[in-house]
Amino acid sequence: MKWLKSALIALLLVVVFAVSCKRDELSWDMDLTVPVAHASLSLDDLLADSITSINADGSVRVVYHTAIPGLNADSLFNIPDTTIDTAYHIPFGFLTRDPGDELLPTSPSQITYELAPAQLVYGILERGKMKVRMQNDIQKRVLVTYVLSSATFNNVPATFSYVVPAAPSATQGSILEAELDLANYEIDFTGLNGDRVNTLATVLSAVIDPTETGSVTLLPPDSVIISMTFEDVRPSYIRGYFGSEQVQFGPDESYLSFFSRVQSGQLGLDSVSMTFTLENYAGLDARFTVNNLWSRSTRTGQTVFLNHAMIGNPVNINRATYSFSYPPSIPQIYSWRFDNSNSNIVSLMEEMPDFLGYDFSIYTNPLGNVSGNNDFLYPRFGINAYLDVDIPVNFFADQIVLMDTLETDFGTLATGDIRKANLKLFAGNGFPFDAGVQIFMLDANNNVSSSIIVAPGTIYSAPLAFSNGYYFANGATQSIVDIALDEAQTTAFLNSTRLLVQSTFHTNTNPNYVKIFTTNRLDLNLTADFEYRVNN
Amino acid sequence: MKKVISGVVALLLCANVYAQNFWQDYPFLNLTPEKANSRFSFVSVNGGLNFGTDAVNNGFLTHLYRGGYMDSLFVENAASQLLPVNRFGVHTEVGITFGITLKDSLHSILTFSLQKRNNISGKFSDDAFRLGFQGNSQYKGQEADISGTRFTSMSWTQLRFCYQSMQSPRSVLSFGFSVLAGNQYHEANVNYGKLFTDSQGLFVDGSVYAEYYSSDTANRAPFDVNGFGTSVDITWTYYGKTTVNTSQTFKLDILDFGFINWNNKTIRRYVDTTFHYEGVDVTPLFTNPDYVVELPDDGDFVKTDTSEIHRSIFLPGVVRATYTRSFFGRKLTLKALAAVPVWSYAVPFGSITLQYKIPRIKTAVSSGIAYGGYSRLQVPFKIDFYAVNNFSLDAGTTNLLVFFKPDELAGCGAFVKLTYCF
Repeated sequence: MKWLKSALIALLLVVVFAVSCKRDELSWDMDLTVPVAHASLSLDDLLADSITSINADGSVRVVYHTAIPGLNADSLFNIPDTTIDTAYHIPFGFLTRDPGDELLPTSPSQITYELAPAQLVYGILERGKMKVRMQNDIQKRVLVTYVLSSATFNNVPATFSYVVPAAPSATQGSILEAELDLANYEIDFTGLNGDRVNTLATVLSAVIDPTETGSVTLLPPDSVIISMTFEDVRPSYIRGYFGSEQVQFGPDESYLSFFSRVQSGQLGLDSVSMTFTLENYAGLDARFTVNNLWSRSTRTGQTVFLNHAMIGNPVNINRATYSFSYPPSIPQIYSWRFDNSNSNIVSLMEEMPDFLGYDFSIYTNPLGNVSGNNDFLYPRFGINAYLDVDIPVNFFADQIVLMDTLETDFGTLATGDIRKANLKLFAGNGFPFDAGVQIFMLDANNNVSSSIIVAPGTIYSAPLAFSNGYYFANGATQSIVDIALDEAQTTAFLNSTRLLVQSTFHTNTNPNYVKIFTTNRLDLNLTADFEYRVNN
Repeated sequence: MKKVISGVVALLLCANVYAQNFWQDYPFLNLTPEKANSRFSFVSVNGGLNFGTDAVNNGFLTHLYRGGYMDSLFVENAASQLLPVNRFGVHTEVGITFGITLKDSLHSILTFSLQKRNNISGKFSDDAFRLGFQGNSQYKGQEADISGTRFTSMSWTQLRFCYQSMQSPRSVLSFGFSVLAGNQYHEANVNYGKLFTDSQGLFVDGSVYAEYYSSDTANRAPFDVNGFGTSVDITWTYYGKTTVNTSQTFKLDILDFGFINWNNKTIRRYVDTTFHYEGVDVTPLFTNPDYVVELPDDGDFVKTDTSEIHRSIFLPGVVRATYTRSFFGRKLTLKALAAVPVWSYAVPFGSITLQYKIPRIKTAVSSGIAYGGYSRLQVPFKIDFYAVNNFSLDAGTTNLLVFFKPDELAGCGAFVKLTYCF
C-alpha cells in the first residue's frame, strides 16, 4: 500500500504542476490619450512654392516668379558637331619611302565650318573636344603631327603628335584614336590670313617614323587617313555676325504649381498684376514679339488668353554692351506690366490655372550686319524672360477644394494593437475663411476605399471685421474636428500607404473680398484617444 | 526510544496571502519539553509558494496567473478596490533539512539546511495601477502620481546552521546562522513620478526620478552567483505552566536578519527627467511635402545613465511574538500572533485564531481573523487530519470568505501540507 500511496501523491503532483503551467498570454485594453501632432501655420506655410510679401498695412501679397524656359542662348546660336577627314593615298604605281620621309606635305590649310548664316570671327570655348581617329595602312610606324593653329591656349596652338603603329599586314591597317580637350581655348575663325569667317587654320604632317629601319614600298590602296571630330563645342563667348533670322519660342507651357492642388470651387481676386520682363544680355539687335500668353486649367479645360496691347505687336530690342566686369555685358531690360486696368490678367488667375502658356518670336538683327561682325554673345547670359505674378491676398473663395496625396508608413507602430481611435483636431483659426478637411484612404489602385472624417469637418473662420471695403480676421475661432474611427477603420487607416487629403476653403463673403494679414495664423493640434490592446 | 523522522513531504499548493509566512515555525523545530526527552534525528524536504496582496481582488490575481483577455469592466472592478498605497509579495522556497541531537544530550539539536529562496515584493499607488492597466485617458485634466512605486525581486541560495538548546525545563533558545549566495536581483524604485494629461489631450507633462538595479546581466541562470551575504535567526520559547487540561506558550522570533552584498557587476540605471510633449511639430510638412516626420523616441524625453556598482540589500525579515493557550483538556487552543516586518513592503501583521480538536475523528479545526502583512482583513480556516498512521494532512485557507466573493475581496490563499513519517 505504501508504494500505491506514494504513486498517487506523485501523480497528484504531476497533474497539479501540469495544469498550473498552462496559461495564455495576458492581455487587456488601455485607453490612451496622446498628443499626436501640432502645427502653427502662416500664409507662407499654406501656400507652397510661393513667396509672400508684406504691404505697409501688414496685409500680405503673394509674389510668384517663374522663368520662361526655352528662351536661352542655345536657341539663338550653337556650334554643331563637325567631322573633317584628311587622307593620304598612293595615287598610282608604287612609291618607296624611307624612315623620316614625308607622306603628307607640311603646309598650312584652312577648314571652314558650316555655320551660316552666322559669321563667326572669334570665340572662347567653355568646353569642347577634338577627337582624332588615325588609320595607317602602311607596314611602318607613321608619325602624325596636327596643329590647330586657330585654337590657342596661352598663345600656344592646340597641337598633338602621335605615332600610329604599323599595319600588321598588307590587308589590315592599324588605328589609333586620341582626344584633345579644347576647354578654355581661344578660337580665331578668320583663317590663315585673317580675312575669313567660320574658318580654322590647321597644319597636318605625316612621316615614316624616323626610328624605323629599312624602307617600305607603298602600293595602292595604301593610305593614311586622319579624321577629326569637333564635339560638344560650347563657347563661353562668341563674336561675329549671328545672322538675320526668325527664331520661334513656343508655343509651349510652363507648369504653375501654385494652383496645382485645386480640384473645384471659385476664386475671386481683387486685383492681380503680372510683369513680363525681358533681359537682353546679347550684343545683337532683335525684334521681339509676344504672339500669345495664356493660362490653362486642366481641371476645367478652360484656356484664357491674355488681352493686352502688347500681344502680337513686335517690339525692337536693342543690343547689350560690354561691361568689362561681371556680368560681362550691360543688358537692355524691357518689361511690360499687365494689371486690372490694361488687361484681363485677373481672369487668367481666377481660373486657378495649372499652366501658363507662351508663344514668342525673336527676329535677330532685323537691320542686317550693322555691327560689322561685332555681334557678341555670352551664352550663359543671352536673352532671359520672366513672369512675376503679384497677387494681393484680397480674395473670396467659394468652396475651393484642394486635394493632395500623402505617402504614409505606420510600420514603426504596433498598429495591430490599436483597436480603435478617436482623433480630435483642435484648430485655432486666425484666417478669415472656413477650412474643411476630409481624409480618404486609397487602395492599391489609388481608388478611394473609405473616408475617415465625416463631413463637414469644418474649421470655422475667425470672427470677421469690415474696413475699407475688405473683411479681415478679428481674433481667432476655436474649432474641433472629430475623427472617430471604429476598429475596422483604424486597422485600415494604420495599414494604409496612401492617403488623399481634401481641403476646402470658403470665405462666406462673396462678392466681398477678405484681406489676409501677416499676423493671421492657423494653429492645429491633433490628439488621439486610442483603445490599445496590450499583448494583442 | 530512538525516534527517526526520515522523511517529510510538504506541499503548499495554491496561494497563501503572505509573502512571508508569519505563522510558520520554520526554520526551527518545535522543540517542546516532551520532545526534549527523546533523542532523534530527522531529514525533511520542504517547498512552498506564498503569494499575497492587499491590492487587487482574487479574481484579478487569478486572471494574472492564468492569462487571457481581461475586459475593461473586469479591470475597473479590480481598480475600484485599490488603496492609495498597495502592496504585493511572492515568496517561494524549496530545500532540505537534516537535524540531529548532540552528544547524547536530550536538550540540544543541531540542524543543517540548504534552501533556494525567491522573494518578489513591491508597492504601488492606485494611479500606477490605473496607468498600467487602464491608460491615461481617465486622467485628463489630472495628475497621475506613481511616486513611491517599488519593486524588488531577489533569489538566493541559503546554507543555514541552527542550534537549539533547552535552557531550562521551560525555556528553549534557538540560533541560526546562514551563509547566502545571491543568485538574481532586480529592483526598481520610482522615487518621484508624475504624469499630467491635459484636459483635451493637447499635451502631457511628465516628471520622473527612478532607479533600476539589476545583478550581473551576464549571469542570468537561476543558480549563478552574483553576490554573498549572511543572516541570523533567533527564537526564544517559554513554556508556561502545563496541566492535563491547560498549557500555554510564549515565543519571540527574530527571523531573516541579514543582507546580500551584490557584486560590482550590479547595474544601476536611473532616469531623471522632466518633459513636456505636445506631439510632433509638422509645420515643416506644409512647406516641404518631402519633409520626413520623425517620431519621437525614448531618448527625446528620458535622460538615463548606467553604471556598475556594489549594492547591499537587506533580506525581508520579521520580528514576531506568539502566545498560545489551550483549554478544556487542550481541546481548545487560542493563538494570538503579532509580527512586524522589517526591510519589507509588508505592514505589521496580527491574528487571533481558535483551534478545536475532535479526537473522535482525529481532526482539528482552526479559524479566526487576521489583518496585515501584504493583505487586509482575512478569515483563516484550517483542518488538521491525522486519521491514518504515519500520515497527517493539513489543509486550509488564509481567507475563507474570498472563495465566496472572489471578485470583491482582496487577498486569498490556500495551502495543503502532507506529512509522512516512518
